[in-house]
Amino acid sequence: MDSNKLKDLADAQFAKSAFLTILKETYEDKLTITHRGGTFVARPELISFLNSWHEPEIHVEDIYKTPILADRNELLDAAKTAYRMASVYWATEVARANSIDRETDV
Amino acid sequence: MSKGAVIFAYNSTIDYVAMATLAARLVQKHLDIPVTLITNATEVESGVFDQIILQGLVDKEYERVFKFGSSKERVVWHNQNRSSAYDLSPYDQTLLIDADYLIFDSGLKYLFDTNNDIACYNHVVDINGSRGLQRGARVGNPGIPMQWATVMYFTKNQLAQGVFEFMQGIKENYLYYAGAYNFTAQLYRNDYALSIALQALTGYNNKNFRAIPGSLLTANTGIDIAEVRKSGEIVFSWDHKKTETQAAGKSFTMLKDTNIHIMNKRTITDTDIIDQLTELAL
Repeated sequence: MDSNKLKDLADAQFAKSAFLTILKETYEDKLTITHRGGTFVARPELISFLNSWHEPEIHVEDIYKTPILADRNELLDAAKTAYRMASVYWATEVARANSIDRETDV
Repeated sequence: MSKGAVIFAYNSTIDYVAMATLAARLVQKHLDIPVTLITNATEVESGVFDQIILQGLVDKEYERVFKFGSSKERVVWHNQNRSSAYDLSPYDQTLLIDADYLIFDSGLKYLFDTNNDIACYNHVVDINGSRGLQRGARVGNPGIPMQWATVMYFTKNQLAQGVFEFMQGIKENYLYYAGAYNFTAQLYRNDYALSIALQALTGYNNKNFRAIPGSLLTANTGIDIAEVRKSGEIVFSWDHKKTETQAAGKSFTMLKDTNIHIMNKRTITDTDIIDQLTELAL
């Protein structure tokens, strides 16, 4: 390898920190779900809350601070599905990022 | 209720129609909704758009200097017809996107199931972590918080109609608003018009309207697309200067299944790159 190419290789860097930041943003986006006109983020707190009740319908505050009369099971299922899909995506991409050190690994 | 996406595309030295065609294909693939193109171009690829609405250019031309990758370029910029989106959209529920906003994920589908009258992003994040585009951007000084017009969702309702009519008024009296909010009038910006109209019509209070959750991910004009892979990964590269912790050089990152606003029009319209991106849309 000639010295210029070697220098290019040495200078090339995978922007891991920026990548992980963006990945977290994407993960949060993938947690967004809607139910009966309300918008929710499928965080563990929401899943735990829905799981801790037994009534078929319950008022839940959405991200716009609007109470939505939710079908508890339906919203719980949607939240769990979104959480599972987003978490798998996040974990897979983080594992991939951790295996990248150089531009040639990208 | 009919639902669909609307894209504006006016060619200059940059082929916005080609970008819009790519963006439309991606919308169809990931959101499964029809797309209407609003343009003055008479030659548009057939079979991609649900409707093509021919609308000539109005108002004055602006020139903007873009730093595409490592070079700078002065280009004519036609961005002023956007305030007519409300009147021109053939849909009851509309997703209005820039021609350079590429959708690789079905996440935005949820907007059509919400009670939102109008929504847009109020945060932007640059994929290279630069501080040029960041949370906390404002219109003017001290100004008001910026709302981003790159992706907008609206239904046919009084608030949305008012916002677009107000945007039209701001466009026609841009010098006045530039003075009132203390920003430069050199370049008309839809983001500014939207921010002012939305804030004013929701009671001069930024907490009275519904932002799209999350951030508008953006690849700024200094970022090139280095490679598009069949697996869906898009590799981006940019030159960075020397810092206290980092030598000068080229940095890379990649995205997969992630919506992205690509501001470097030269990289997105590069023949090889747009072909590779189009393959991802099929």
